[in-house]
Amino acid sequence: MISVPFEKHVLPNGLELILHQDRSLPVVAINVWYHVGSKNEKPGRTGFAHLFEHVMFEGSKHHNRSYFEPLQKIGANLNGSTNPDRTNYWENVPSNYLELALWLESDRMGYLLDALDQQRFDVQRDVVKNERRQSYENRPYGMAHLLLQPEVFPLPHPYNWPTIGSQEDLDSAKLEDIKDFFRTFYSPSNASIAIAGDIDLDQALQLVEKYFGDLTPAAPIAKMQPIASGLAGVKVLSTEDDVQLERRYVVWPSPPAFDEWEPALDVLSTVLADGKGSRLYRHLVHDTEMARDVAAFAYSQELSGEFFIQATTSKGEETARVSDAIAHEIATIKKTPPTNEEMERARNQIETHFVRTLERTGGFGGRADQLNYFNVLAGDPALVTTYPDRYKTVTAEQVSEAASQFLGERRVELTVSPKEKSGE
Amino acid sequence: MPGAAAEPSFTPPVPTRTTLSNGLTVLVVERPDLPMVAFGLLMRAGATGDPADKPGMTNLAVTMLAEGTASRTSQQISDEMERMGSDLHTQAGRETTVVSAEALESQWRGALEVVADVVRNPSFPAEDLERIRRQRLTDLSRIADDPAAIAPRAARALLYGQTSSYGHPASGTEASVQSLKRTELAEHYASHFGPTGATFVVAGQVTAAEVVALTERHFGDWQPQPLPQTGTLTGTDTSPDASTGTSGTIFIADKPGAAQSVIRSGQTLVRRHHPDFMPLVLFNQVFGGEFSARLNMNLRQDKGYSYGYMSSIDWITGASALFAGGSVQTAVTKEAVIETLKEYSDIRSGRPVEDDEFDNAVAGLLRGFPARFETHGQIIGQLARIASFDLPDDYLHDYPDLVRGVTLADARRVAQDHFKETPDVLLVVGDRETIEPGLRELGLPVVIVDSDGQVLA
Repeated sequence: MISVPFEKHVLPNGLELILHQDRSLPVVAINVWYHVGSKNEKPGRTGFAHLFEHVMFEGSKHHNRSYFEPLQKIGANLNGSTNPDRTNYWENVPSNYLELALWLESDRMGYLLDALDQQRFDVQRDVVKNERRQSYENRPYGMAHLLLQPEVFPLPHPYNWPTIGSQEDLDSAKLEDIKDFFRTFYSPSNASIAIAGDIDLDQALQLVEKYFGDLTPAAPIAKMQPIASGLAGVKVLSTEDDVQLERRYVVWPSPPAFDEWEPALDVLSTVLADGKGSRLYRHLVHDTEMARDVAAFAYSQELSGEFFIQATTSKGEETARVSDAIAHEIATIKKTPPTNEEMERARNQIETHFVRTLERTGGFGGRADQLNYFNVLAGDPALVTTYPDRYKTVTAEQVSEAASQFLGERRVELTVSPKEKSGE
Repeated sequence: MPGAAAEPSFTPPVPTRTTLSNGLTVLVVERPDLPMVAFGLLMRAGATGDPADKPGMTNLAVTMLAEGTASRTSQQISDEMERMGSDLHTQAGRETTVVSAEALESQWRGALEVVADVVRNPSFPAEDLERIRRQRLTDLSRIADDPAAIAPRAARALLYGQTSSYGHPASGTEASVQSLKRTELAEHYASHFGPTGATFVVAGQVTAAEVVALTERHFGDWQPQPLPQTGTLTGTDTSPDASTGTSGTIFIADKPGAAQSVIRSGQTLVRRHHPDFMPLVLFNQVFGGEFSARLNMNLRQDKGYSYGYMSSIDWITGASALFAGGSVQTAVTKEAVIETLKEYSDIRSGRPVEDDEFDNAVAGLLRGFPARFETHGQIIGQLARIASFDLPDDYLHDYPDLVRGVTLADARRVAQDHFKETPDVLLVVGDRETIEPGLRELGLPVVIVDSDGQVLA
């Protein structure tokens, strides 16, 4: 389909480097993954990995101020993100500024703590608390994910707590904790850099050796192994929100990324709810109009996965009816494999998705980020080119079998209902 | 800190332009690198063409395009597109409408056939209309759920006026959506939409010659519409300064219990074609157009009030608008409004755009320019902008020179000439009971509005 040629190097200090050349634009994407996320936190100390990500933009020993200013004035785009498995940082820069970007990345990998003070830490903690308010507390249905996460992954599963953390844990975070976190997890031996775009391969390698080669590795970190959710039976939850329509969530624990079932589960979610021709959309939203919207995702992560379906009940309709209809479609697909037409549709949708993902060299999900994804989580960047092939051989029977295996009696159901309005 | 290596060369694409005999323009950029094609038909009709008493007419008519044609049912349209791994997008804007799709090279001709069919032969099936109408009514009622959805809609209505062509709700009101008839939608579409003024934009693994041949085949006999539209101001907003906002008033839309207040300030600006376009772009980069701009550096990075506080300019052929704001913690709503107003006043009189800020903004735009041409979707977006504003084909080629031609004095001058020290509208969507007392301490008039921006008695 699309081939992404690359070179992989490992520096003596353990830093992994992947180089991919594409000279169609004078732009280069730098993408750094640290193999640390909220799964590495402790209960009662949640939100740390993400708060730390914010601090990483605030300055380091040899560039003791914001990382945005020097990069924005060269027209770069930059950002970072944290999930349960990893933290990533990227910048897309004009290719003649590759050295500047590498210098900045190396300075915060090696010398962040020399610049970090209480005031910077406190401001970013306030910013993160506002991020939590904006993305969850003040967003319709925004609290649903925070309620679901602990139930889908009961303790001691390391996905038990949401990456954004709790306001209480954020309040109790100490500067010293942050420093320990950096010393443990931020080092060349726990990082992978992907550089994609307008580069000379040899020169890029030399620059990385120059700026990162002398950074000291940290003590080895044991790689966490996939662990199944300990959820037993059906857990039923309900909550209220300031919304007009009721919404139902159903979430099943599922296998981790790269499990043999991953492609079949992705096809299953596509057949069920991707697009107007999907089974759930057609039945719930188009034909009966019992729901205003429906979505399904197979979200496979490093240690474990989750498969979720959500539907918003139309005005005047019963959520029980919606949830029966979802159960009915699941029972049906377990017995009746997708038709040839449904399989063709799903394969083409997924192929288009993969090609579009690889259209960009940088940013979230671009080629550099994908190379790091496959390198860090599966140990093989070549999968960026070959992994999509696994979707071509999924059979309709395997899709039904995946539904039978995983969409069963181990699940969490959540109903979000409109808040009772008090009399005015 | 390492400096720059030698400047790499970059030549932005110049589209191939063809005009069909019915007036339809075709703009193509050949990009053989990836086996995908992005394409879209931009038509010069939008919500500004809604009849005064029928807000939402254009939007509903355009939504109905995907719901049935003379030869395809709603299900057939989605089935066909999805089987090709493609997805039909219909988007009615204020001044223009775009119907677009993206598909693998092997599938795009088939996707184009469906797109052409929905544009040329929509049948507005009665049953599907009722279904879409019910959906639309639901969606309208749900806007009140989300402060982040209330704010832009209500601020726009307050800025341009509830019933003006640029301020009325483009997705309609409950009453108008209830009342719009099938025949009205069909007639409105037929009279306002057509090849005159329209542009077919394509980027991807294609040849211009094939695109022109396909366009001729699918659109060549499309008859010009009776009422060719361009974005024109109507009613009270014919002057470039069209605001109906009440400068210096704080509007509050109540959202009981909200964890944050969504602040949105707005003011009208000159039209896209004004010679001060580029100086204003640079001015906005300094004011709030990027992360390191003044607004975000103050309200996020210095105070920690917000996760992000930005400004942007909505450029149109009529009076454009500059909006600024973000979501702030409820407890600091008053303080955030004070800081916002301080930044307005500072950049105009207290601390005009500074040398290094200006240099950084210019450098950022110039050096970031090549990255705007990475995806096929980005490229057709650029072509659509050229088409919407009748820009010359070499506009992209000339863009760097246009940026370089702006001086610091220009950026300071436009702050005086076009930017108002007090926004025309300052709307706060939040927990009224908690925030109103503080906001009243600011000594500005306070007016309570509903989630549509209608003043409550």
